[in-house]
Amino acid sequence: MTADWRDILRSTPMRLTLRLVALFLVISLLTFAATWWLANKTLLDAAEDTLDVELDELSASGDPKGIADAVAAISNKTDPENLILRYDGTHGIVGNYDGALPGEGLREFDPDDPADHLSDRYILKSRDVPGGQLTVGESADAFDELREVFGQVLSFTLLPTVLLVLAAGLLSARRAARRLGAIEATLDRLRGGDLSARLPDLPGPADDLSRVGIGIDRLAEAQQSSTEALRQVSADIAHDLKTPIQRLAVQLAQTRDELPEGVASQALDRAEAEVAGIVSTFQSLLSIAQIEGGSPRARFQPVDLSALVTTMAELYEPAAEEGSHRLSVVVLSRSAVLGDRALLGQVIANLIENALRHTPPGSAVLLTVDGPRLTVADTGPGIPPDERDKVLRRLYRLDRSRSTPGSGLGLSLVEAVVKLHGGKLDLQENAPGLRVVITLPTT
Amino acid sequence: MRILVIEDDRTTGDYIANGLREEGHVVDLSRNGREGLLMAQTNDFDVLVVDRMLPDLDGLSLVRTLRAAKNLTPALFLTALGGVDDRIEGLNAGGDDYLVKPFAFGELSARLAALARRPQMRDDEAILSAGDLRMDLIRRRVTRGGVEIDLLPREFALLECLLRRKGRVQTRTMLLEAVWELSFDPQTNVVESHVSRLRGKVDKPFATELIKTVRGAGYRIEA
Repeated sequence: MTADWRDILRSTPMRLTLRLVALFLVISLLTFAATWWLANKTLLDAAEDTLDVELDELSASGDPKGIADAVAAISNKTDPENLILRYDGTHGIVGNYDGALPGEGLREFDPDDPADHLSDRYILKSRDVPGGQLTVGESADAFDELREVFGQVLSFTLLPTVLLVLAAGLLSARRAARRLGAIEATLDRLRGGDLSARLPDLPGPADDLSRVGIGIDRLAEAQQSSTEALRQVSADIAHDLKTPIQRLAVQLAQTRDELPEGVASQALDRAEAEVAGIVSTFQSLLSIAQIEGGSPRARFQPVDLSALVTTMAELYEPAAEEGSHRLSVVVLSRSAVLGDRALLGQVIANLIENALRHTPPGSAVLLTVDGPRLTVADTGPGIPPDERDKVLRRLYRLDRSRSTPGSGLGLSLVEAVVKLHGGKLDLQENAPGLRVVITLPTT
Repeated sequence: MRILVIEDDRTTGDYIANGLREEGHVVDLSRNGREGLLMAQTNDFDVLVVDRMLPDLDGLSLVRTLRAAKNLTPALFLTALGGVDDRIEGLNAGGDDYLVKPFAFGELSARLAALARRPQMRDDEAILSAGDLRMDLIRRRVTRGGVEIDLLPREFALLECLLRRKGRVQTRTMLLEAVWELSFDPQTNVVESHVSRLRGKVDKPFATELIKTVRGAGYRIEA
């Protein structure tokens, strides 16, 4: 479930939503900041104008005595909570506030003595006048109210908007995730070889996602029909060619029966061996075509690789000994691989047969199983690095192996089977000799 | 045995039918699926040989139809396709065995014999024997004329397989399937090598040869 939500958060609609929300937030905050700054400035200008008028009126007399009288007259009937008046003249302080007033010119002031029944904050302006300094301060309540209003506007408009957009984004992301999940599941089945897999009817409008879905369905349909056509063609070719080959084999057998023992029997043996060769090459080609045509992996089962390799080695051991080869198996670690036992058996047989066929008598062939990795190493002539890709090609044979029997399909078949299993085939130098490394997916 | 061969190719069909008749079987031959199905449904055969690709009705559908009608006559498929899928498809449709074309007649004959007389030897038998050879399945001991023969497990299994179907031919592929549980086509004579090792222990030190090679087919231990 958590992974589910993480997927949703990473999904395209959610990322788009988050991006839009971020953009919206930035723009809104910028607008608010600009408005705030403008309003603040306007208020401050207005406050300064008021303060200037006050200062002008109080200092109109132009002499220290007149100013002190004017200040005293007004401060008597003025509550310092609204307005602070003060004249720092040569004869001392006159006014309704005698606490400290740090700073000069236009400024903000936070009195820290609450006992004075003062306002929280003031806008102050001081001016040098004859005989001293005159300071007038207006309560900053208006500014604080403005701040409060701004905060409220911010939280009442911005926050719900953001939350609503996020929720809508999450919902549409979840819906898109469900539809994408259906697409992904179908693709998985197709990749797994089930070419009949089609998308279920996706909920939601006919949008870009459903167009992608339709495209996938069409692709799968084309793939399925071409695979079926390939199967049909292979089947037809197999039938049309194998029946005459069968007849040929029948003719040879009948000829053998009709001729007296011994006469021409060597020629018949050769002819039968040729037929067997044709059949074997043909069968390999058919198998490769069928495997590459996408045999359903649904049939795959856990296969004990080390047990299978041991069985194959045991099967080939007497044949190897007849050719003076030493065949041995080392199991470093066991693990089950997911696959088709018959096909994997064929792969191991092909590799062992290759090694036995292409190495001189007396050589050793070592099969090593390390978990899902099988290594078949021989001490024969090996394959030059520049030819290693080519030997995987169908019917390709190294010049020097023209004289040895074999169809040149062994490694192609191995590669096809390994690919079908989603494994890896690697041809390496064994110095001297060839080392074939196959890594298969585990269960 | 009474055998029905359903094969559209004339040469192959005649060859199979004639070969089986020479072996003393009664053979009916049909050249298309619909007719073959009708014959199989209305007569009592011991075994059927069915080509997979037939005109009118393919072999798979034919056997499937028979099985649906509770007709359990053993059927062997002949096929031009030898892929693993095809084999499994054939067995799933109700086929009992599967032979890829082109095949040797000996192989077909051996497999038919194995199919038709299937539950011949009881599985719970503890002692198998042929001539002076005795195999004790419980103690895993093999003696010949009282002389103990030391066999490796796989050699034991190979000999057991031949003894269980005493008197009948076991082909190389049949042995490969029964003893190693492998169904593939080795390019090397792997089974021959094992049989020749087995002979070295079971036949060579003794006067008479028990394991006979049947040309073009496989091996047999005489009953």
